[in-house]
Amino acid sequence: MARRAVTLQAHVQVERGSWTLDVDLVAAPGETLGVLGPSAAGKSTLLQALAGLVPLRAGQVSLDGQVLEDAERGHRVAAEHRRVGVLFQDYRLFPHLSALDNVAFGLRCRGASKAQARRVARHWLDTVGLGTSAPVRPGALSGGQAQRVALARALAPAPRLLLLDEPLAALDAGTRAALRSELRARLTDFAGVGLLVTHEPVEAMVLADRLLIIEAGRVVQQGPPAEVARHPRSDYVARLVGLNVVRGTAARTATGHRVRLPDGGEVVAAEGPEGDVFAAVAPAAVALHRHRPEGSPRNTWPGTVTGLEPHGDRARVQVAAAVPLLADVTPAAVAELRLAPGVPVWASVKATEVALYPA
Amino acid sequence: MTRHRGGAPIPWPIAVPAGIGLGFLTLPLAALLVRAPWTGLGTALGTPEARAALRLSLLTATTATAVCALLGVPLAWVLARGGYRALRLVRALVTLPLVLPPVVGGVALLLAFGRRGVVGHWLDAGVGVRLPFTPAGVVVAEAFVAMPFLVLAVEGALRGADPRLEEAAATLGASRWVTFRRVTLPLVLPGLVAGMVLCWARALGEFGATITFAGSFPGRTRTMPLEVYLALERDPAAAVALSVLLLAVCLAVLVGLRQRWLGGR
Repeated sequence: MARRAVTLQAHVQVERGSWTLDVDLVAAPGETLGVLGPSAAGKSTLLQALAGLVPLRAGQVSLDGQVLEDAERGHRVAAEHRRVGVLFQDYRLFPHLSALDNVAFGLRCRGASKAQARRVARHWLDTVGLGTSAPVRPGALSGGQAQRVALARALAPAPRLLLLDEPLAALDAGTRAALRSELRARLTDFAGVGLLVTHEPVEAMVLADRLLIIEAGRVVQQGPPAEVARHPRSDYVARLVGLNVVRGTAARTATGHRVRLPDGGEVVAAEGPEGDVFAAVAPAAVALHRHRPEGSPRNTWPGTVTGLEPHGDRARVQVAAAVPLLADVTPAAVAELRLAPGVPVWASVKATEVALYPA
Repeated sequence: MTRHRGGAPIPWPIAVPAGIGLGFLTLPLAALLVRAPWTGLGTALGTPEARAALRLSLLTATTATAVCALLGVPLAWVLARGGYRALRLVRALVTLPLVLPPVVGGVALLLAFGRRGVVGHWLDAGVGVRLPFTPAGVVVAEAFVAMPFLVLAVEGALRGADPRLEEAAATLGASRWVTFRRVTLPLVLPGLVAGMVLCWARALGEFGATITFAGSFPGRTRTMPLEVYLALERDPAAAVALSVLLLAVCLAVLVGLRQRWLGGR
């Protein structure tokens, strides 16, 4: 692969009360990073640090070769002098300005004349499909329209880094889908680096070229969305993408690959690497029984149903067994097995359904 | 039976004192209107003394309000956004003229800006400026007493203004000054106007500090309140007429601004 130009290079260390955010990242022009993680993992802090809204305790940030911040040397470019645009979850449009003047605001601040700023702003409003709303005050816009105006406002001054902070979280489901495709279109055209913070896996999968999973202030996994979805490396990611994942030590035996788990349990796989591995099982591959199943070599565990919820046209059952499991079963199976929280069940997984990958 | 929105009657231990309180506040104003010499109003207000006093009052109160806005808005910004611990002390100092007897304020102003005052003798000897017993002294006295009203009103409005919008402005390239001018100030405009109205009304009615610091020279430092007080002994009917006029001016400003800034939202 050819060496790609690096636009954004950052080592961000920020102290936040009892924990520290410590993240390294690089991104190429045109690339969109999806930062995914549970709430309070440090995602928004990362974004604020890149925008220059909170100072680094240690580390440095450079964009297009320009050092924006270097904590060791005490160098810091103020937020208003960074070529960074931010799309906030709560829009943050200026209530006293029209949609057009909101979009023109950043251009005016960067030295454009009033007429010039308005001309460019009008172009951006047209681009996000809100040309007719130019004279409207934000108070009269719907949530989806407001976020489109905010998107135009963030993009108008031609930033080199666009930060998106949970941009769809405040919208209802219908609007969210429409705005997601709008964001996708704008990010595809965007020449700079996009960085999307979200806790919504679908959003990240659709919009990002590369995912960065942050838990408790650290990057626990990164890679292309498909890769992350196939091979989760933490319980959080596994649950996010709907996989059962455990970590253990694999060894080849006469009866297949045996993965010993730290707590003494065991998972049998048909094939795969040896040593420190992750073992992943799709919920659809987990079968539930009232009695101990017999027959072909497979994994069987006794357990108790702890939860039950609809999942598409099936039911997703949480089972507390030697390993915590998610199982997708048909509604008929739910009725037949009389599944409910507290009911004892046997879970089984064929060895061929267990995917092993190195940890 | 009087009923509020919930439908339950107002309990009498609340209703009775509330009614008395309302009467106490409105009765004197009603008496002023009842006893006003309506037929002779024109002649009473047409005297040169009355016209000079009214002109001086409007001019000094408006100038004092402008001074208060110019100095008070930045002061309010520092109090609301500064983030220094020492600001609690500053806020207490700013509030002090609010509770200080105006006469004491006048004495304090004399000691500071009088001809032999701490700053005053420098002003006198250095630049030849004498504040006491001049129209400028009236403005100083009024501004001293009225500024806390404006500062506290604007500080409250600034605290209510969403700092997240200022953050958004910064990400769009706005310096702190541009953010203040183009985002914060428009957001706090209703609070600023309310503060200026309060400030102006307080300056217009100023008596104690004015007479102590600026004296009562007709045409130069004798404002409407001083004129009313003096007329009360000389010509009570004229005093009532002047009072009615002051009341009318205040009501007109309040009603006008209310419709312009607060009513249309």
